[in-house]
Amino acid sequence: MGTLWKIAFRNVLRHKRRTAITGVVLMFGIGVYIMFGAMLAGMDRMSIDSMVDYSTASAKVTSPGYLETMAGTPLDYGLEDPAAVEKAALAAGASATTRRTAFVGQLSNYVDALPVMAFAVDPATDGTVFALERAVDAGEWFPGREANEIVLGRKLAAELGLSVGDWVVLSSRTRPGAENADEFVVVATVDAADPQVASAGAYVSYEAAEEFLELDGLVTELDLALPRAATLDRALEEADALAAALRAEFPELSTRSVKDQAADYLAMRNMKSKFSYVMMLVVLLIGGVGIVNTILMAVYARVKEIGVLRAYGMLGRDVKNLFTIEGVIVGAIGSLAGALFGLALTWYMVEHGIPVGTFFADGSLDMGNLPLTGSMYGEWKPLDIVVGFVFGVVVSFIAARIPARRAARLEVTDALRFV
Amino acid sequence: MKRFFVTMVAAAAAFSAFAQAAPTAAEILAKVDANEKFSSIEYEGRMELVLAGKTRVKTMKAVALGADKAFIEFTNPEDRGVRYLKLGDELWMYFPKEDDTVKISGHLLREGMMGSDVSYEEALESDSLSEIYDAVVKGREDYEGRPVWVLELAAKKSSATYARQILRVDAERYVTLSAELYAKSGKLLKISRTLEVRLIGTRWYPVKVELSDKLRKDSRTTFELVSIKLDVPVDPKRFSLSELGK
Repeated sequence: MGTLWKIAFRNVLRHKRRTAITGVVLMFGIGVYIMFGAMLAGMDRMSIDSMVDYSTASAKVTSPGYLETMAGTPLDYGLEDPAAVEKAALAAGASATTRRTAFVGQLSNYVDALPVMAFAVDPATDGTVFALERAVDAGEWFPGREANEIVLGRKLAAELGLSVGDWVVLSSRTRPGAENADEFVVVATVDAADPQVASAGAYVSYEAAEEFLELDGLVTELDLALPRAATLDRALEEADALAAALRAEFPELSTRSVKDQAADYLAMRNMKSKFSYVMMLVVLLIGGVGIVNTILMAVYARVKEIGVLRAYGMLGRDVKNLFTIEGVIVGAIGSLAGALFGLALTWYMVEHGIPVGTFFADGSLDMGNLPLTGSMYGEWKPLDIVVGFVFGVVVSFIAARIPARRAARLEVTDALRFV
Repeated sequence: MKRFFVTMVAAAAAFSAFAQAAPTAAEILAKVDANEKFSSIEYEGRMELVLAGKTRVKTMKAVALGADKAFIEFTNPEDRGVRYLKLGDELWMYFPKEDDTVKISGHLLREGMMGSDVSYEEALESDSLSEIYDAVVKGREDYEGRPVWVLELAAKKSSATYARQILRVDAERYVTLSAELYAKSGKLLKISRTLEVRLIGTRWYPVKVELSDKLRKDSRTTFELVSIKLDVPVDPKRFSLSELGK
């Protein structure tokens, strides 16, 4: 067997071009497979990150009454002692907390009016939990020069023809239930990854909302942040743990982790991942067919050589083993190169991302509720690298075994006459 | 000096006569309430929505019992079978195509009904103005050929939908002919104009009203009661979820 390995290695090195072609096919097939897995995982991460950054936070605390009727964004149910919950959340591992009060409003430029999902926010702490402040693309985040300042989603502002410095009428119901409408100056627009924020998001400071909505100190939700976890699964686990700790301490409140809030999306993600396996299988099959084809070509190109070996007395079984070993060596080299290529592609996707705007004219890829704008980043999937490598070697073994068996069965004279 | 004295006496007498003849704001509101408030109502309505030059027409059948119970079924082809059930502060919607019932409470009651300028509250409720507002008479004038009392209403409670209203009440028929509806901030939000008044039994009732949103250009809704029955017996069983999905 040792001799066969030596001959096999020598043959692999002797047929440099053939080895290179087979290796490159393997490398691309496995590399693309690994990158594809990283991209799908990255899309999931981005979608959840976008929810955490703009709406759900890592965990959200509300009153049970608010949770039951939150579709109507009522100003009837607040948190009695948000400071106590904030203190407990920080002790349980939250990195930051902020308060928000959601309300339904209408924004008018006196020509047109659009419904908005509005929030009273704390300008000083909102940026420690949400990404809104970082997403400001024009203007300044609540500079405090006017009593009534408003920050709008970029698409919403564009739809109403508003720019930074323009005045707009925000109307809503006060906490007691009266209609109110007042003029607010647009101090900033945000280019948020969340389409809901971009097209219907309006944010005012608690200071302005207190007078405008007669809030009387009402806080409807407390949002909690966690340090960024290395993987999505880890992020979901940590959010769950934080929510569980607060639920134990404040059983009278509703504490929901991002996993609870994004339950529908995560269920869809599980469905999607099954579909993803089919897509990945297709990628692997395409790669596999390429590998089989290349190795078959290599074997059939050497049938005469087989005849010579058999004429010198090599047994059919040895011929079969020799070609199998050669296939496995080429497969291992190609698979290793594929794994390295996949690693490089994944590294690039994780570190730099792919700008979505490269593929879509408006710079956004709308996948229903899955917000994907800016750059699409990948996520490390070590298992895919192992699977890709093993798959390459196994496919190479099978691909080499079949023609090797046929070659071993050839009569010496037939093999020498083979064209 | 004598002429001045005579003028003053005449003016005082005239003012006294006016004061005796003029009803107080509370009396005017009570008469308006007597005309416009109902214990039950059953009507077929037509709503014409005009927004940015486009007109849509919706027709409906509605029945309401007091301020808490109301049932509307739309009959125009696009929305045929869409039903609304209001029970207290909760609103239930039934969508026949999906055979689905959705419960919505809170803010939706204050949203425009089917995209109109008329909120569900405004379309379904029968609140007494006297209970909600304090009023003062600001004067008497002619409005579109009718003598009217001009009333300024200030909400008694912060929960009233509009903090302030200016009403023009027909001085002879005691029906609101126009209402300017103001936000808590003082901003004018909506103007309603009564386009047609009908004598139903012994009371005058506005049967065609135009409501325009002052925060939107070219936005108005005309709400017409094509047929109307007031204070007729209504079976309370009609206001149930089981009836909504039938």
